[in-house]
Amino acid sequence: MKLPDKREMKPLGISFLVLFLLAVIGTIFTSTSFIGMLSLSFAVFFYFLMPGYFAMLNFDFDALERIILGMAASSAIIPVFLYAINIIGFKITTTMIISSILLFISLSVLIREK
Amino acid sequence: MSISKESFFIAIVIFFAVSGLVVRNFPFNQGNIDKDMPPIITSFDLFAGTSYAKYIYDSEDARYNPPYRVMGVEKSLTIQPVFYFLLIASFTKLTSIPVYQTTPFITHFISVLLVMSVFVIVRRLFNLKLALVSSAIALFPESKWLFQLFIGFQYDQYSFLFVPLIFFLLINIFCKEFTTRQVIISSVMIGFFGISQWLSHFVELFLYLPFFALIIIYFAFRNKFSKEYFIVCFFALLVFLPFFLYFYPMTKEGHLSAGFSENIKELFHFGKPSPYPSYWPEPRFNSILNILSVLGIVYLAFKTAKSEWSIKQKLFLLLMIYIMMIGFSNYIGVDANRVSRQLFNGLSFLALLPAMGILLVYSVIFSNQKIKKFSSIFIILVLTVIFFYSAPKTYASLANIDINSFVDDAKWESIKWIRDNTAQNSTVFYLNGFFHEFSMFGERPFMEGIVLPTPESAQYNFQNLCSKKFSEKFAGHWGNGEFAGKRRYLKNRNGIFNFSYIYPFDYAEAKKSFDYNETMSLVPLRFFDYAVVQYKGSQFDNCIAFFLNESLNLGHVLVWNNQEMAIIKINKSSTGSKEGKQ
Repeated sequence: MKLPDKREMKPLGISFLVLFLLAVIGTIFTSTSFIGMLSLSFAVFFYFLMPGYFAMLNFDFDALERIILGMAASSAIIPVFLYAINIIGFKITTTMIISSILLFISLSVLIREK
Repeated sequence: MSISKESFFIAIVIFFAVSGLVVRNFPFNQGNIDKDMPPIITSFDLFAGTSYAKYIYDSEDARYNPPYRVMGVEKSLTIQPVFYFLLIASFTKLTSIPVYQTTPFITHFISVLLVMSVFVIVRRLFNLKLALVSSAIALFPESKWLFQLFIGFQYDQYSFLFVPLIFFLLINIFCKEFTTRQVIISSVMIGFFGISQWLSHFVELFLYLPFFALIIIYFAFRNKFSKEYFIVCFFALLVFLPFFLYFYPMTKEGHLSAGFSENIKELFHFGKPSPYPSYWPEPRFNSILNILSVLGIVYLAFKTAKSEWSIKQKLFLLLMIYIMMIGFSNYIGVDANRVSRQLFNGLSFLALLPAMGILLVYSVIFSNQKIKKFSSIFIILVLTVIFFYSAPKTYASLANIDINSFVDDAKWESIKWIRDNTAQNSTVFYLNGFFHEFSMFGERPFMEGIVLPTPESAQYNFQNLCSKKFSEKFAGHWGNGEFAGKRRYLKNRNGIFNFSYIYPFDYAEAKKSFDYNETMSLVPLRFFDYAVVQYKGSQFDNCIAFFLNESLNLGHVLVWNNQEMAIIKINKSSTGSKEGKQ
């Protein structure tokens, strides 16, 4: 196990700020509420960005590669995992989705080489 | 100008691409993604995707068909490629906005992500300049950007997203860029990507499997069957096979009922070119990009002659050629409906050719060392030209797609009323129908009185009504199907290949009322709970007025109307109840 260091967390922080900024801009230029835009930005960050980014920390990629390839990886892994637990018999609730993402992030950190 | 500034520039370009989509005129929700209504109404696939995703979102279960899409049958196992719907539904659970909005959002998002994925791969394998130019071309084709949004087929776009990823991981594994631990993680990921394709749109899985198999076989011999070869095969299959074995028997009941070999045979009709479907835009570059592509081929030939390609670059170029070969294989008779889509999906790969053409011009101009310092300005200029040349046309195309919506607010209100004010098992008759089965958003089992392009039911209904004859029975097509075999659905799984089945309208009241027919059924009006009609704005206004008056005379009740649409609750007290319904 190896926890991400400050340098590795920086792209996540920047991405979060960019998404927040997009939510603000989206609110200004459309009639959508700030809460709606913010929730969309949060979901992109939490669902697409975080799981894949942490998984990509296992590779010697640069920050942009980790973010972009990580997002694509998240979009495959999270739904497959949810489908698997749904087949077993669990419902796809918000709690289950958040737990699955956190579990996947933890797993990605756990298997990381020191 | 340093490279990081170029990266900043591409970030600005991407920002415009995304913001352009946000501010464009969505005819339905007016750009307000809080609204509980679809933002764009153009394609059946978007309806289908949205309605499945909404059912999963509401029921929190991805295993079953929405009853309203299978004629009221409850809890039938879905044989649909459920993965794309599940992605949308689970993503939406983390937001405060409706599934109606997240479906096109995810479509946009995946299309941008696909271009960006190819961008980072080209940047790593070739150089930043080529990556910047090719991704700018791919992000802003002159027209019909987001083919999927216009025509549908979001499934294949999603499925295609994993082609560059699988390729990237495979070549890194076999070129020994990864440690053993990284090879194992990558192999597990490749398994997940394969499953995602298998559970979304498996055509891409089968189209690109031969290419990836060739890569694996090539490296197996090149690396003398080193341990990576076994690790990849073992771990990828370890993830892939359980899901494959779970879903294959189900899809064999429907989409693959004829078996793999028969389905593959159906793709090929060698001898004459297979035409594009009439409603498709032509998958072609414009003349400027064609000229640049020719220059790109010169650049390719020049570099090839000098043997300047690394093995990774060669394989990437081979993948680009492979996509092109598949995309144009309709000219040798392969079903255009399947293969030509790859030209849209693979645009970010194909954009490499005109981008190479631009690089050829670049290398000629900047062979002079004196002006070398202006080279970055040239790239920025090219990106700016691509943006200002293409973006307005792209946005204009999107606006054109938007105004081609075939339903309006008044029709949506009637659908919404049905959705929000009727019992879950109510059955609805849409006398005028909705082109492309918009009615599925009502979330009730339904029959449509007009279904294009088959005119029989419309002829029957309106010949009667327009000649002032109120027939006891009405003709129509029952909404959707999604059958698993002949007019049946999967009810329970009793073994890997063993299912029990359930049939629609297999209960006393329905059997007594009508003979269900996949093409056209004649159903008594009293069988329905509600009838929805468009009484203004169609060529049948007088006929519908007659229908409404006669219905009210017969004791049915007008429960809702607006300036265009009306909903009648069928009075069943004099005609018997609907006991025994599934």
